Amino acid sequence: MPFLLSNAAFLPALAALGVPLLLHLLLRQRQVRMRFSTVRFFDDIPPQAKSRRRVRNWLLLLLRMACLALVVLAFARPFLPVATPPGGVQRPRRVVVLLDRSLSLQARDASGPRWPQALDAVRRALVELGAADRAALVALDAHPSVLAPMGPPSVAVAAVKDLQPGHQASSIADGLAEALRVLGLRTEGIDASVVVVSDLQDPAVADVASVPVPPDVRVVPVAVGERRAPNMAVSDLQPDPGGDLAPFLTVANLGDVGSATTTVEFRIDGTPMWSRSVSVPAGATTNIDLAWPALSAGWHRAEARLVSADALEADNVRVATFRSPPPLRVLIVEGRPAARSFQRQSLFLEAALAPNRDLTNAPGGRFQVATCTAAELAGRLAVPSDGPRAPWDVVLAPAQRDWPSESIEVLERFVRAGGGTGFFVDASVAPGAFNAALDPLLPAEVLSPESAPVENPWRIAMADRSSALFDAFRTAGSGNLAVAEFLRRWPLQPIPGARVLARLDDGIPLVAGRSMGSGRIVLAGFPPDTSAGDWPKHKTFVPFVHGLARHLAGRDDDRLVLAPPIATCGAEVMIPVAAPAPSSGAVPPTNAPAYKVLWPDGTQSGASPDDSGYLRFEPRQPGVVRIVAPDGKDVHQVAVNPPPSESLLSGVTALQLEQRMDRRDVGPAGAVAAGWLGADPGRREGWRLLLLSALGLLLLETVVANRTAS
Amino acid sequence: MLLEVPFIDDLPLLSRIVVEGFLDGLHRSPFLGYSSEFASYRPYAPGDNLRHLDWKVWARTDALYLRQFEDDTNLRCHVLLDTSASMDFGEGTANKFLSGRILAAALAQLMVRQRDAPGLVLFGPDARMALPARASREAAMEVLALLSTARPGGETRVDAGLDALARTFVRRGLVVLISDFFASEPDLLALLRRLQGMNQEVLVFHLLAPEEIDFPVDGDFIMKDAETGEERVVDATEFGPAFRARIEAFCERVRAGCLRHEADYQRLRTDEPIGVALSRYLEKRATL
Repeated sequence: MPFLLSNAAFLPALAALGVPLLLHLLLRQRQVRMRFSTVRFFDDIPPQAKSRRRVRNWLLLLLRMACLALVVLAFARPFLPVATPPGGVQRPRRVVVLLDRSLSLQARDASGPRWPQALDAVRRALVELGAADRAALVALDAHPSVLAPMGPPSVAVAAVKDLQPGHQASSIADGLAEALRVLGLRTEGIDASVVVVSDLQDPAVADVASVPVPPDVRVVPVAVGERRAPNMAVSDLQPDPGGDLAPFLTVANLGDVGSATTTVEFRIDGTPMWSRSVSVPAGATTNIDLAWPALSAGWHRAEARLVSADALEADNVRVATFRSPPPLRVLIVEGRPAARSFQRQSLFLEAALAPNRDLTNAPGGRFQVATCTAAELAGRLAVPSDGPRAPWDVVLAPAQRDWPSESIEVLERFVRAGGGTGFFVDASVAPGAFNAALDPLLPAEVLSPESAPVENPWRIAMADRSSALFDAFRTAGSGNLAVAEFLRRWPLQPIPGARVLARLDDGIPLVAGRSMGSGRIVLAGFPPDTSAGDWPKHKTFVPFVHGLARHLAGRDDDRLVLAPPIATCGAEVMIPVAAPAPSSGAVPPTNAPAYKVLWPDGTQSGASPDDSGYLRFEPRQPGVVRIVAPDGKDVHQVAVNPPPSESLLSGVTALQLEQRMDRRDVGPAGAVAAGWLGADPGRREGWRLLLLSALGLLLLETVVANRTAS
Repeated sequence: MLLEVPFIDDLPLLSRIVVEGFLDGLHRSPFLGYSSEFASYRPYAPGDNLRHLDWKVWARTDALYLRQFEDDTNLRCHVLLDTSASMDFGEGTANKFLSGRILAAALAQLMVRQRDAPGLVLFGPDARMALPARASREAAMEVLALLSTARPGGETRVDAGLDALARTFVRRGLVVLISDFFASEPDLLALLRRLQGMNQEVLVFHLLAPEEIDFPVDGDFIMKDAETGEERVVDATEFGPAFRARIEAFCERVRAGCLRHEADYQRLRTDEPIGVALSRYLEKRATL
């Protein structure tokens, strides 16, 4: 088959071949006549010596003319048409069908559900292939997966039979990359194409330009569904947003016209909490603040649901899990158990920690309070046989004159094991005896009491707000500790290692603390009642007592609920379940899974933490994933929700997808093939080879010219 | 350069400058004084030239004696200068014919100072005794005058004419041969043989222009023979090395021929000083 020329208009430029010929003739060295003394030495000159130079000159001329001719021909862009096989038989086709099975394919448009349309499109693309053609099926959700490798189309048709859409988001770019990998880099001589069956959501095609697609690979987008579909969704649910934010849920209207009204139901542990109607303009969102009822300790599940039906139902429900911490258990040592309640030393402490004690049957508050005498303390703090430590977190001793030695020993063991104890003093306490009795525990020595004139009481001038004790007063407007007045005090002289947590305005320590073993001890140089001052009457007293209990218990977090991050279908989740394994000298972990994972669909599997102490898994369905420890207790519950991006049902057209794609050569083999003969499968261009040949001739001309000159 | 003075078209002046410059450079040359030494006295005989009477001796002794010198022992030196057209080659002061004439003139000046008898033979297409060897002060001037009027032309023929002239050199003497020797090599050897047979010491100065030795040209040329008019097409770029080899071989053959016939051979580039030639002459003269 002869070569054809794309730019035959350049051919007249071949007349330029006469230029080097003319120059050669004009500049040819003329023979100069020269008188010489004798010519006897010029006799018998070898003939080749005279002709060699002439031959080289003509060779140089030919090389230059050939070089010029090649350049002119290269500009004329010659090409060799690739012949179609006789009989009209097409080249063998290799088709990769890329089926988007992301969550948005579950949507139902006015024209019907999207998924059956997608399956029909896949079948149509496969059925029209011939026996010599080959096809592959790649399903695309969070990750592309080859359901049918390159082979007869019937295999791909069979693979699509029971396929269902998933709950993940998809990326067309990832799918194209996988499809190109399945096609292979060598696409010469074949009709390679990728059929993209998708609803072409905006988020899914956003990064399609990141994957370069060779020009000789046809991409055939088949868009299913409508380009604009109204949809509402619960786009967010945050039970524990952190900071000063209150818990909230978000309802979004992802349509683009008008406003939509829907009913929102909120449930906790399946129990409806409330239901309300909300109206959201198109393209807007609205937040609804949440309030938690009294909750028992442990894991809970919150669920927000839109009642009204829309295009995509899967995103109308959103779940979240959170954990309500157990109440902090406080044991108050009462020195006057026989006195009437308002005369007891523990009155203000108990009122601050459990104001509704014995008044309601609602789930307990954040503190679980009990009282006992000093004599009973040893029995109450006894470590049960089935537990590692005492059933109390904190012991508060308002003012106790007599301490049984057995109770002090128990108290010391309790603190060293992680418990916390707070001591107060009052007029019934003799400082010397008090110091002597509690010597191993006290963070400071109690000195003799002092009194202040009524007109000039002492006030709190310094409080360590970095500790949980006064953490509640850290922010502005949270209460003024200096309002409280003290008319009587028991100065404290901290021991080495102790820490002054509060001082009066004359600098005398009022509260001191220390650590012992795993626990903490706080000593207050005043009584927790109004006998020495009016602090219990002020509103700052209750947060102080709460802070004191949390500080002593080592629980610095004051949140009502603790919510783990919410997971998304198709995204990896990392759950901290154990301390990291030691880096060296560690016993290799056994292969037996240490944890059980209960999936939302009721199935379960085993899982073991990695070396960093994390469980890693990738949930594929929305719901709650439970992580169960070997002892059968839930150590974690992970809420899994659909990706919010899938709620946006608007998409691009096939033409827009084609425009967004990066059409260029990829891979070294493809680059070379396109570089020498062009990328157009219908022709083999020769101009690159011609220019290369011209370059080679130019180099040869340089070599010959240099030899001639030498 | 053969000439170390600005070009002056005055051969006597040029040759004297060359000779005096050369002699000044010798510093009390041991060669001075030959042929002018007092030899002896002899009694006067009638007919003797009264110019040679020693009048002081006659005044003291009243006897007539003649002063006898070594004049009759002067060497006859013949300078044979090639005047063929091939000698008219070389750029400017490096022209072979000009250099040959200056060399011949300088030798004549030097010979007269040595009390030798210079003679001149010009040979080209034919050979002619231009000036017989004669021991007189005028002889040098005559040689110079003749050299000034000499013109190059024709072929170099070293044949019967020159051989006949050589046969006239009956007394023992010195022959200085100045030529490029672009002649028949057998004839040249025959001449040397003849001169050797005629009891002549031969000093050969082989004059070559720089262009003939270095051949510093590139490109294609049509070379025309200065004597015969023959032409050769030559690729000088290609043929340069071969030419240089050929001229070197030619010089070697001439030198070998000279040695074979006991002639002293000296190749002279016309762009080099002439002093080496004069020194060579004096060295040769010292042996005679």
